[in-house]
Amino acid sequence: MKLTDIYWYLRPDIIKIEKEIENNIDARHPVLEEASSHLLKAGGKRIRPVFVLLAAQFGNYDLNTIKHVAVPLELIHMGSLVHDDVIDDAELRRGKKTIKSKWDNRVAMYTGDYIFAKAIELATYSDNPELHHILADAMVEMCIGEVEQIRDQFNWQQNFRIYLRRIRRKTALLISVSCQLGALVAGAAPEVQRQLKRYGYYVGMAFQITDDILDFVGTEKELGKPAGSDLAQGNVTLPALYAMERDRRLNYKIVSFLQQSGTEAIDMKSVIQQIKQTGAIHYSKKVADMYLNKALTALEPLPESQAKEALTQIAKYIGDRKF
Amino acid sequence: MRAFDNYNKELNRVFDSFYTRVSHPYIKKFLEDPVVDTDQAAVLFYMLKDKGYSRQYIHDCILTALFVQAALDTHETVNVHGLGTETLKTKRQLTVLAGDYYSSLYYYVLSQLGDVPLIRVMAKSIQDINESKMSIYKQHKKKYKPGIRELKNVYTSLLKNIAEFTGSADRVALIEEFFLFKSLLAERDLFLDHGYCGKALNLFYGSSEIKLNSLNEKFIIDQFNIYIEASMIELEKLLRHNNGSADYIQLRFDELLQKYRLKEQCAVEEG
Repeated sequence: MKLTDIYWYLRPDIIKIEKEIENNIDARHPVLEEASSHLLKAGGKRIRPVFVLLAAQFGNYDLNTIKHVAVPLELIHMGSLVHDDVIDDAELRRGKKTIKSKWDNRVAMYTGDYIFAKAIELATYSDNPELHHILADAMVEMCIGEVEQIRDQFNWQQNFRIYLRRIRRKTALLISVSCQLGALVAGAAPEVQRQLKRYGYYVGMAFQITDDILDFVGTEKELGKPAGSDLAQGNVTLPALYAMERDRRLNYKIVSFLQQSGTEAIDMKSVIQQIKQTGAIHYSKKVADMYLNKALTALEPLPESQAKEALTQIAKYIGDRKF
Repeated sequence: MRAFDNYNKELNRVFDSFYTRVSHPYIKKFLEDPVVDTDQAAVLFYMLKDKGYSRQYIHDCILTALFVQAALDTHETVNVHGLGTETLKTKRQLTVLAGDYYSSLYYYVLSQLGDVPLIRVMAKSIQDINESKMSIYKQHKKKYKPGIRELKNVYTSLLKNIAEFTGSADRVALIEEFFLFKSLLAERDLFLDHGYCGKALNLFYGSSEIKLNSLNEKFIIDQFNIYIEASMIELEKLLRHNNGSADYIQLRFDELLQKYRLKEQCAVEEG
């Protein structure tokens, strides 16, 4: 089963949201317009709008109201991808040239700034001021999270707490906010909003941990980048952290690599093998499952509905996903 | 001349808030604090004060405008190509993130105040400015020919939109012209002193990739002077028509003009 099969019944509304996004990045300048739509055409799961739509079904579902949250959230995600590609000096995204690669860093900066500002402007057309507290708070947190990710690159003195805080800001926050805001603008009860916020947070955490596991167990073809790329770039994720605690020799090897800021070569194949031998993958999977169970528990008090079933299925899908 | 009595005290309070909020220990290790344009803050201060806005509103409006400007200016310094050393790479990464962080601060502060209309003004200004920056940077002569209007937009869109929003539309022309004049002078100085190629240069020349020689250097300086003189005339005209509500701009204009004349005189004397 594909992820999109879970929320197939939302397809017409997702298409409308896509159209809204497309209509709203109609910059006057041809390069700005082309750069913005270039990213849109590259596709994506649109998972944030999906969470908004599903969460909104626990209140008064009105697409004209919900779009003031669904569109900005996807645009914020898109804007951050454009800037992330400058940060990572990335050439490709989803198999297509990045904006910074097709044009240059400056075009990417202008495009990202334009998209972020457009997202915020669109959010101001919602008549719910609380939306801005939540969204602005999330944006500040996400920025701090990204700064801390740079700070923690090649930092061998990390612990689980730092890792969890990092992925919370990097991934879980925006998914959590998507669920919370969907429920908020649809006027769902405060308790429902809280439960959906929790659900989004736990799903986001599980999603990122699963991503971090896949980086060690996937092949280059499956991942679209060499296995172990996160570690090679100095990002110490849960499997590596666990393995470093379990295996002293491996710890020494990874620490030496990190201390050299990745400038000295490392036999990543053998490192990955050693990480696997410590049981790190199994352990990380257990942590991801723990978050998924918490996500499912958060859904329990909510009334039975097609949306609840879809959110349950999405959580399970994330737990089972291979790539 | 109106006394600029509370100017320093009030604005210093804004600047303190600004530097406290933008300060991040890790960013600080690699990047300088953003530079505040005190003229921008002062013009906003007098404009809002004259309209009778509260002390707190003036503080918050200037503070958030400074965040927006800091974000835009910071992103302008992201290097176009190449990675260089590890430190340069980290610097570039943090420059991107610092700009995003400053930008998120304007949204955060205004959302706490519940000032949704002002959030929209700021967000629209950022879009306008980036549209104009792109027009100047990637000139598309057939479809979209940029002009001095685009340059004015880059330097003044934020102030212009705030002025219109806060009921000071009558000051827009003067504000636009003053900041255009000031920016042209600053870019000209940078070019003369360091050969720096800024936005105006890109506009005159049609490209940021310029190999300087004596011929095109003369052309560029002539272009600068033409635009500066034109702006100066326009600014004098606008100042003559103002009814005493632009003392600060008049004062700063006189200072800048004096500096410009002095530099011109030196250039003539040095041959």
